[in-house]
Amino acid sequence: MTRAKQAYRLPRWRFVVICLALAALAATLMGRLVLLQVTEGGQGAVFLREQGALRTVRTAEIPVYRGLIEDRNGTPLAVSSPVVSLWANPQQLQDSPRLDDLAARLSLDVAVLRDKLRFYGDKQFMYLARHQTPDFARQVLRENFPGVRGEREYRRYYPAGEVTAQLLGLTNVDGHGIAGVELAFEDWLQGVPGKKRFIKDLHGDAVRDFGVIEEPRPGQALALSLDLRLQYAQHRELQRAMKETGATAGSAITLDAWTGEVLAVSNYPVFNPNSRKELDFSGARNRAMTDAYEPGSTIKTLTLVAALESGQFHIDSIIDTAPGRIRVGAKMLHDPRDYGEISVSTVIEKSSQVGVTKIAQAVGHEAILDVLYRFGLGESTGTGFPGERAGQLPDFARWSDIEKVTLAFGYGLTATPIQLARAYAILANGGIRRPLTLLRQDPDALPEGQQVIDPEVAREVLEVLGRVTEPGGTATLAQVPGFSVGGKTGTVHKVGAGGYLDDQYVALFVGVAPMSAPRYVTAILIDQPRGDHYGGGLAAAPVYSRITEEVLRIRNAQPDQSELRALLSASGGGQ
Amino acid sequence: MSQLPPSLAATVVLLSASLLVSALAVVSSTHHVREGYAQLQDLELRRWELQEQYTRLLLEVNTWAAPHRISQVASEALSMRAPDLGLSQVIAE
Repeated sequence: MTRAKQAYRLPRWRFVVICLALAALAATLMGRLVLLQVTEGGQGAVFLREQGALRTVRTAEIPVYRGLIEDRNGTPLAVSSPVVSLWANPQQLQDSPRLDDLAARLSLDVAVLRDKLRFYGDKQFMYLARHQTPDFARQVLRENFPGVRGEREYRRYYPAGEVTAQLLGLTNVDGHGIAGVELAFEDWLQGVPGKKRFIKDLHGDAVRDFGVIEEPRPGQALALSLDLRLQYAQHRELQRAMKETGATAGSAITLDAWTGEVLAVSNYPVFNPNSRKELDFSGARNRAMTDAYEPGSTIKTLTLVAALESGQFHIDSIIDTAPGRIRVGAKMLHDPRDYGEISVSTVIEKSSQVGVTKIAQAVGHEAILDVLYRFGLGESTGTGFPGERAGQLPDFARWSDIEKVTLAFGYGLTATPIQLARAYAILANGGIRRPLTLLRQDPDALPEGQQVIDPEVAREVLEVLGRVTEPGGTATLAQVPGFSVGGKTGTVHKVGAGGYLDDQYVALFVGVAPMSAPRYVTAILIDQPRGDHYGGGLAAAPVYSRITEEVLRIRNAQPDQSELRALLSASGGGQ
Repeated sequence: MSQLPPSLAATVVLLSASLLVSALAVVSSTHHVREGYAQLQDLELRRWELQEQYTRLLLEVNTWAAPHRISQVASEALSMRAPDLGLSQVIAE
């Protein structure tokens, strides 16, 4: 230094300038660094971190399964099973020479696949084949077709198939409920997919997990009140009845009157929920809950309730039904024959039109309408089933004479089979009305019921219903060996263009069993039975008998007809 | 170069050593995280596969145990029938 000092005499300002310039350079660099690393705004640290993340960090959805639907005994009715949907990035797959190979593998037409690829040519995603079995998808993916990937999804399977189809309903391809129980309890069944963030490498594989942002919440299991064994038996008997009667449609529903639980519900026609290709919507309806019919003579039971409540009648009061016909307004009502002087009980047993008309005229239509309201007609049953109809009660400003009486035998109002079953369940439950439910109930925590009629009236009405199935009644075919059962038939003319049709009927039977401890209520509806056996007593009562036999056996009811049992024991077993 | 006091020198050595150790620990824990993450992914895959298997078996069991199959096997292969009333005895509860 000293030598340089001597050689060149540097002006002091040059030294200062260089120093300042160097300092300025350093300061600029540092400033830039601070700007990039520390400050938040503009092109600062946050921006850079975000840009970096955009290029490497991915958020992935964690798929969740939909809740299991099971019957009251825990047998699965709807199960979500993992499947793989194969998708492709059209831009990568488009020009692949292996397209033919891939199409053959997926059993697709190459030309169709090419068209599809061209159509989605500017997109990065298109489905190739949705909901493939994991085994198959793995095989395809192992062949590494360019741009072909798999996405995990769940698919709904219904192990019981058509037996539970209409009640359970369906989910769409994305796993959302679109009908039936699947729709009604969508919020409960549907899980919330989770989210996780991870860093992916060049090949799109995850190298580091930032962890779960949102914990996945799988759907919750739903226990229905249904008993699959019973459901199966009911379904089988209904299908058999459809074949035997040649009817166009039919429904059966079984309730537990004590708890308000729906134990089984079947309908005809049916559909296969596991195959969407042949989906026929007429088979998809849960007719027992969505279709309202005129209930006909099954309503006479409720007229009897009104009669007993009025105090004007006892079940043994005598009514003169001679000469077997009665004129109301312009219309003549007939009995099949002249029954003469019969008791109120016999009026119901024989389903005498004349007798019921006289009762109805005595108690008045307001009283009957009031009973119908209290028994929940014209009102939803509370199951929450999508599309459930509430039926209709007549509401005229001025009632004609004939309208006042037809109400008493079930014309001029509509009700669904489940409503009829519920009305009879109120009788079986000692006059206590409970909301119906499709879910399994805790027997110790039942919802509060409502006493809608006097228990004594309910008991008397049941006694009369018991006689309907005994010799001389209209429904001897409803009998169940070993048990005493009660019920009421109904045969209704169908309504067509221009009024009631002479040759088309709806056959109904609503019954209660066992009479010693009335608990199980089954309603049968058969729409347009063909041939001579069209009435409720001939078409519907035998179905009731066969279904109720299964109900009582499966539910372990104790036989209550001791005389018959003794008789059968004595004869060595009946067969 | 002036002499550092011995206590300060010791501190510097100690700090450098611990810096080295912590750096190596970071490397090793990063490695463990990667390993653990790979394992997690394997396990998640395995969970998926097990669930897949479980639902398949569940469906299989229910196909075999379907009421109509049971009644068919009972009546056809095993010649069983529902007992009629004469053969059943009610035991008082």
